[in-house]
Amino acid sequence: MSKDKPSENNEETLGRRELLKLGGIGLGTGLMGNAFGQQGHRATAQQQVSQWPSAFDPLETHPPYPPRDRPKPGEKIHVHDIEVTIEVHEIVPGVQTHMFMFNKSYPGPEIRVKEGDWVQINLKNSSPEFHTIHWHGIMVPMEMDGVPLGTQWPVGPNQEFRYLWKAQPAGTHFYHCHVMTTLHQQAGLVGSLIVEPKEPDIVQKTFPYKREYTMILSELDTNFVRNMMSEMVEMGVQMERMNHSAKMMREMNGKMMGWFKSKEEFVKAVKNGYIPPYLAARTGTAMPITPNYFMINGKSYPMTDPLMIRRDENIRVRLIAGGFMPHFIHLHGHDFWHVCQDGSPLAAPVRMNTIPIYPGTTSDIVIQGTNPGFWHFHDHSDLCTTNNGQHPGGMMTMLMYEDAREAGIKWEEVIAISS
Amino acid sequence: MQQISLQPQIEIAGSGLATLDFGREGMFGGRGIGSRSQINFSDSSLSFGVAQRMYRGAIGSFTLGGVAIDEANSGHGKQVFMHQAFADFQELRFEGYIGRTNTPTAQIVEFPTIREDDLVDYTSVLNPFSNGANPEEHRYSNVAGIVFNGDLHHFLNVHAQHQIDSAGVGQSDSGLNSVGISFQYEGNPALSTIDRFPSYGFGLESRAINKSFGGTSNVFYGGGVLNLQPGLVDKLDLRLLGQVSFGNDTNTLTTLNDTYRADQESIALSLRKLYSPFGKPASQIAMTAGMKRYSKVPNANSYGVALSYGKNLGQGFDFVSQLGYERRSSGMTMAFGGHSDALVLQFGLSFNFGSTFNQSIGPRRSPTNLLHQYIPN
Ligand SMILES: [Cu+2]
Repeated sequence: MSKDKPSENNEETLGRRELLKLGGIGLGTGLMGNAFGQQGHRATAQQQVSQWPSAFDPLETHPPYPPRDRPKPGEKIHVHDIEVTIEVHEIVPGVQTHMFMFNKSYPGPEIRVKEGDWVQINLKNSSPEFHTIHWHGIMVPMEMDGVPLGTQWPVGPNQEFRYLWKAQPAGTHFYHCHVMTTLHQQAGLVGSLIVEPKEPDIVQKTFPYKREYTMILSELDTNFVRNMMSEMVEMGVQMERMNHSAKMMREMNGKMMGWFKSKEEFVKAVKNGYIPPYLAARTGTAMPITPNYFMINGKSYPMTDPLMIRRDENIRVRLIAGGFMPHFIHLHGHDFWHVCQDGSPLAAPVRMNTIPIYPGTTSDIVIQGTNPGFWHFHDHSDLCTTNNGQHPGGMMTMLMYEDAREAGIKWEEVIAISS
Repeated sequence: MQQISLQPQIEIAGSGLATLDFGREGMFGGRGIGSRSQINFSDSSLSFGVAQRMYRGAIGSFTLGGVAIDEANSGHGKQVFMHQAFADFQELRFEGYIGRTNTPTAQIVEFPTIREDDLVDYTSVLNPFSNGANPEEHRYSNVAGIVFNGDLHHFLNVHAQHQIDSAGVGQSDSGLNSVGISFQYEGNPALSTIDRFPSYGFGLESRAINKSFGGTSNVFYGGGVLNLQPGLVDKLDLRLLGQVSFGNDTNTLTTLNDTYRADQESIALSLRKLYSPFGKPASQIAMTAGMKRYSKVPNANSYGVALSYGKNLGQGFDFVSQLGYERRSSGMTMAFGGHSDALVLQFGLSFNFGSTFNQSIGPRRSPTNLLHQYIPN
């Protein structure tokens, strides 16, 4: 424990103001102006109180830069090459699945840029299916939004597409394929996208940290992915072959894919025996999606990476819901601070020990090293802590103190007793 | 053995096929001795399979199934023939199987007649031990085989069989009366209507027949599918199976068994037009023809032809019809009860289905496995 910290066990007997006095921190304007007045945590840094933003700004959601700007001569552009292929991914030993991958990695490589920087992504599709990339949470110009047949043509096999946008707003975001999202995102096409603020990071200022972790939460139905990928690959392989035949291209336009010029044409085709692809018979599986693996960064427990911490250290954890289910991430033995939601700082940090993460959202939390030991950090929706129905597994990892031994934790004995 | 705690994958597959047959006296293909007009539900089948993942990415499975036999052909209460009862172990490069299943010689080409053994005298490698009462004996046998593959496209099958010896002409009671080797190429199933040569194969089989019935019979056979007009909507394909059997000294044909055993050369060909808009087969018309001659029997040859039509009425459910004709020369008629020709017209309905429960295993030759690194699950 650092000396200038109030003792931890006073919480039940002392009110917030008294705590703050014990901590030697005055009631500055920053605290008073705080929207929810929850500035009650007892971290070490004195500057914390005045750093968190206070006033409500009705223009807060405006893009910091005009989204439709284009790079001016001399402006630096960060270029990333991203290739989509089909690879084999191992979730836990013995459980492998074919997946689409960005740069042979699941999740895709983390893209980390500074707010206001130009980012160019060269997407190369080396798979037999169509893909795009949607920049989730980024204020892009419409043409760069990656919605197939909405704002762009999907990128076909062996085609390339160049995305260009300015990184804004700052915060924790992610990117994913937007073609048949149920399959493509579930089957691997998701990655984290961190936009670091141009100004000094408010979270960093309030909770000085050296280490941070990104955790993409996702889930997968191995049977669905296997069946659908086979079906998609089959169609992709056929279309690739048809590209070489004028006869087959005509067939594809007229009678194969179910692309119709008008509603009337579609109705007529159904009358003539066309079975729309959303009928179970066409999807390759007659079953609804039943996820059987739940992952953190593509791995299920016990293969998940632990979060490492030391006493008195702050770590920042960026939680990204990159799947289709809500998760309720719970930390044992600690409370933590929920500091940012969907990239932006909350009006005030919120103290909690279980945070709901809904599909498409991101939540940044700060964990403080206050209780040395080895602690579970997992989805409290217990189905999600299984591997194919077997507990323990799934969306679970450990918060591990590197200095547990110095703190007097005789963990070998604990394990010997409990095992 | 260990306690069974993991649920296996369970598959049920079947085919219901019933036709109204109008026939002239005679026998068409392997079917319909006496060929009266009849209601024919033969070739209807139901199979049940279980599969489980084994160590190191292997798959173990067991399949059990029965197929209905032409009622007129079999005795009372014998209408179901067990055509599948085998255990199978497979991993990436190797497959081993043992039990009752399709004879390896029957796997090279499938013909688009409405029943698997229409024109069986030309479209199958015949079982020289069969007495002819039951044409399923040409398609299924007791077999132990091992199959090696390269890249999941090229398959080498080495096997020993006990072919059903209903005629009692086998050399011994050892249980194994036939050994063989076959090679088969299978293209990507996604491209089966697009590749020029989606599948082909050939093989050699040696059958141990008692000397008093002419001695050993060997057969060399080969065939394949050629897409004349590749496509996903409109396609036209040609199927071919040729065979030469040699080594047996039979020189008169008095029983049906003689006609399976005697040295012969035969060829079967079919031309099929398939129309499948939006990726679903909607209708099919096919002409299948076969002819053969016996090399050691004077004036013994025959030919047969079948014109088949099927129209899809919905998921798995088809209307089917077929007109078949077969003619035999004088050297053969005695074996066929004096009939030199046969004509049959059939109309009916067929229903094919398959369902998988507790799914946990993918097909070994899925398009993903063929294009990318193999994984069993
Ligand atoms: Cu995609």
